Amino acid sequence: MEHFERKKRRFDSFPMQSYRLLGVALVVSAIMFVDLRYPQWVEPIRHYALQLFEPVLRLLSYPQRIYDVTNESLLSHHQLLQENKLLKSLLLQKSVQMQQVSELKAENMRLLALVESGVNLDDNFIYAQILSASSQPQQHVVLLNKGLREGIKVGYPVLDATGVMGQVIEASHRLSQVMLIADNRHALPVRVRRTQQGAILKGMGDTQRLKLEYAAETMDIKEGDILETSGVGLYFPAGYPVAKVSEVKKHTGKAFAQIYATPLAHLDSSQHVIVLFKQASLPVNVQVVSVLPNQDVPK
Amino acid sequence: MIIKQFALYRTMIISLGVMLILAFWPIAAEFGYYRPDWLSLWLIFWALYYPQKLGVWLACMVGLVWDITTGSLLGSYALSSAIVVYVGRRLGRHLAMFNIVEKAVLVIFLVVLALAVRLALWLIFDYVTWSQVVHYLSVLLLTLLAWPLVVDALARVSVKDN
Repeated sequence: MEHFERKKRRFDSFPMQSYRLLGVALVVSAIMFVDLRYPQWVEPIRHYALQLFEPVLRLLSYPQRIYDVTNESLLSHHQLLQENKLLKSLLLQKSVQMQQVSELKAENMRLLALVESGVNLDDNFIYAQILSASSQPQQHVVLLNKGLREGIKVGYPVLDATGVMGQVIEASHRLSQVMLIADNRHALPVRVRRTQQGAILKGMGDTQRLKLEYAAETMDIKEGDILETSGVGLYFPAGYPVAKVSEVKKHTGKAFAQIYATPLAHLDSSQHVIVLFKQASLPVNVQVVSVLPNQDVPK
Repeated sequence: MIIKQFALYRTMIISLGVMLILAFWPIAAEFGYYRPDWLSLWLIFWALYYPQKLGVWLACMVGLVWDITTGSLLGSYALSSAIVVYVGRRLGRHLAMFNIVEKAVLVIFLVVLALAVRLALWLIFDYVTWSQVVHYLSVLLLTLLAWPLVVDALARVSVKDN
């Protein structure tokens, strides 16, 4: 009897299901609206979810970490010697380059002090390792092994040895999520290194191709030009290389040119990254009037 | 009876946990599109074989958890899950009478439906581009290939509990 009633209820409940689905659709629409219109309301939920899920994610990263460590410890003596030799020569090269850089930096500081700019050229950084890519392949988001505990905060820029990789979008106690510049939700203010003209570099969901938006048709730009961060915005300091222009299409009569670029950072293969610690100083701090302090303003 | 019912819910929760771990198992970024849609498989199994246990609201809640943990557009997994469970329960009513081909067609339809609803939402709100949608064919194929394994494993544990 009990079995029969259960079956009966199972079939009778089906018309009711349509109303339930309608209810679900309405609730989901409301949630979606809030997520799109007021992301700041959803942000705490995402943060606590990552915090809650952190032990699982850390645990899942261990097989790969153990594999890496075992792999490294199995390197032969000869291989290690070779690597050591290579690293030593690279270190020497870099230190010679650093000598020039520190001289330029000192000169820059003197010039900036002259205009009483608040710009600080010393960027602190945190060294981090990429643990895994997002479980959603359409998202270009990676997980770092450092989080709030190490001083990482949402918005901090992330770089590899060759260029800008992306930006921290979420951080828990010991992990953080980084959106790569290739994600189609990511946009970054850049400038052409050669001419200092600005535009916006947008991701297209492809790690090898980025699109330069709002680049005027008359813009002086050619293939091979390096795009660097322009420092406009809150977090990215100016002057870090981002991408190399790969394709320029100009159509007469159109306001903007179609320009594509290839990222300089190895978005697919980089394992070790740097998270920049300091926020970029805004150009607002530069007070041009202070150069001429004693001049009277004509009334 | 109550203990048996609880055992089945326990199996549902444990199997969902296993699916979540499989979905989050770290793989190289270039193999991202070679991961089956584990959530859809879980939903389809429970909607077809135990329709009295999985309703649209529960599917919506599970989808919402998936949305939050994967960082997707909030509500995209929730809506696709609810729709798949609703359609699965309606079409799967006479599952016992279906032959293997009919069962296969039903499962293919439900997997395609789940992906289509989700991708449509992501396309509308610019979470995905058309060039990325094409890559989802491999997700679809691998999900269908994984179905016999999932149904076999879940049928074994659920029959034991039931």
